Amino acid sequence: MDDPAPTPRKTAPIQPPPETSPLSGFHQFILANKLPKDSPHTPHAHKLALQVAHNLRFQHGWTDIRLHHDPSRQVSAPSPPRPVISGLPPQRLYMHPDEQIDVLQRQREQRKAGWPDVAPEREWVVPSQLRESWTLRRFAEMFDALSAVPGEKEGGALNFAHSRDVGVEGSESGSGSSSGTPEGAGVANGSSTPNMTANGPTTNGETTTASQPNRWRTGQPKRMLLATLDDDSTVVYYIVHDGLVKPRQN
Amino acid sequence: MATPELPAVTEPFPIFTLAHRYLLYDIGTISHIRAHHNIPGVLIGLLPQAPQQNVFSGIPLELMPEEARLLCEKGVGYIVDDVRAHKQGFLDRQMGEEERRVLREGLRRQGVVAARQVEEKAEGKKLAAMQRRVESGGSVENWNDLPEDMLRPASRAGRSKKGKKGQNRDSGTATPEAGVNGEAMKPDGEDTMNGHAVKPHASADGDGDEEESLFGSPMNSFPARPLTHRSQDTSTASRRDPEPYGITPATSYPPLTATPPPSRSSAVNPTTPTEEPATDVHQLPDVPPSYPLYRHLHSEGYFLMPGLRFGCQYTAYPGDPLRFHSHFLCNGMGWDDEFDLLDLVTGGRMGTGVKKGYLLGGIERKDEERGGRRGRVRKGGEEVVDVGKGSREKEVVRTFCIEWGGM
Repeated sequence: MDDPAPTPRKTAPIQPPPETSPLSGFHQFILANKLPKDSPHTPHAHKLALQVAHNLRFQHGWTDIRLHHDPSRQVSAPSPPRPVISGLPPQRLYMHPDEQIDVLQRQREQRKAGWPDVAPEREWVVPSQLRESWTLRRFAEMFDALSAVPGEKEGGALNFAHSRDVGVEGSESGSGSSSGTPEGAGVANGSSTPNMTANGPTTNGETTTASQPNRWRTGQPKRMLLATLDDDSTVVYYIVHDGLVKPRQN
Repeated sequence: MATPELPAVTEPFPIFTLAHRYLLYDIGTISHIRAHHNIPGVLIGLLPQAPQQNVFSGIPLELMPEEARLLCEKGVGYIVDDVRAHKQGFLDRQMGEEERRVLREGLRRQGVVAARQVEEKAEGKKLAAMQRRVESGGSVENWNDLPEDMLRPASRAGRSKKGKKGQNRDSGTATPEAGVNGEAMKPDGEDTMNGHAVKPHASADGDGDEEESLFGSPMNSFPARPLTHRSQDTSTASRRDPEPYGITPATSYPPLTATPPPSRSSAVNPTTPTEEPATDVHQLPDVPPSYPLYRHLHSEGYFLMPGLRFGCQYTAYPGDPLRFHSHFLCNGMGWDDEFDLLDLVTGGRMGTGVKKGYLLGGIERKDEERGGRRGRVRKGGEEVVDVGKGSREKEVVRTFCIEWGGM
């Protein structure tokens, strides 16, 4: 359903207000981020990734979501068997129990109370469908293709310009005001233009994560977030570690 | 962990297989493998009086096949087929008369020791109670009056022991004969009540912190000269052995002898029929395909317990399960075994719900082996017996931990 439709409609919904568009916000999002011609991945893998990205953006408030068709910079690593998403969660998604102890200790030394302010970290998100069956080998291949921390400028930013769904925080209105961005279609993937980096609330966190990756993260085995989509568009997220990592005592 | 009274365990020790289970009967071995080999096992012995009570089970200890296999591979244990050992040891080869006599005598001696211990303990208790009664009452005229401090805490008992001892002896001299006669005649119930086996130190033990028995000996049979008289008697203890307790040995391996494997390579030449079971050593216990994961986690220092209660194969504890909560719910599988994402979600949910991680793992097979994928899986399942002997070096178990994302 992706191939013939997009070209005529692509330009149409940009000018009028989106309410009049016959397409849903999600459909417009799909149309705005097409599979690049040189991508090694299948269209359905791409669609799956888009759907997960959409869920991350609008249900969980993630920002700076990028799609990686070939996320490994090192030459030796194989390319992943499917497109991978990276993004920045609104809060820190995972904290190793030892790091938690460390953070709490520092808080006590500084005589601070309350929730510690830890910067969010970029996470790898691997989209999957519930009806797939996985093997340990596929997990291993996926981890081998991923770097420890997703690079800030790797991959291509996704274009969320046309999707104005419910439950979006203030940042969306900002990007919506510039909804006439002509590069909306062209940006799709592989373009370096970051669409979502201009979000207000999380900019302070991004700078810290960009500058120095957390030593707790680099010292630990790799991790990824396995996003599993079901037919009813539910997406569940599970943190998968590439090795023995003791559980959080949450 | 091992208490000093336990005899040292000599490795290799026998692991008895019975009805496809691997059992340990010796408490010394059980605590040894727990302390030194990180293997807790599962105690499966129930009390006959309370078979429903399975919280505090006792020996025997059942080992998972993985545990038995691991101990065998480490060379610290060997498998003995219990049924065959008994058939050959007791039926094929009749025990000689002398052998039986020695065994019976050994059991009788154990029974005597046990009976004497019980007797001494009862004696100590009773003496303490009486001591308190005497002290509190002073010179009691009417022994039928219940001393009012019988329910008082015991700490007050030893307060003025020295001063009251003379009174104790005076009032007791009324019936010295009861004790002496009883002890000279026969060790029956009345006799033990009167406390014949009191050793000189028993009274010293008893008056301190022993719990007190409300029903001590009858007052009119108070032993008159416990200290002086007893010391002579105990020197010739054999004369007045108490009735030996019936001892049912927990293991049949004083009469039988389990012999460790002579060596890995050479076949056994059974000189005596009881050594025959040693041939079983060479056959390692069969293990499920998750054994590589078990061995990997065990080598990482984890204690592994059966995981049924959490819906997995193993629960991994970072230390002794008595001291730590478990960290992982583990499932082992082949490198190319397909699993449903729903299983992973279920396991991840379950693990996170109980503050654990869900762990998957298997032997990593590199890309060059990828060709016959299906066949390899099948073969891996069958070859599991010799997993770990030949290709121990190159096989790498890779694990993945899954936790709920919290989103």
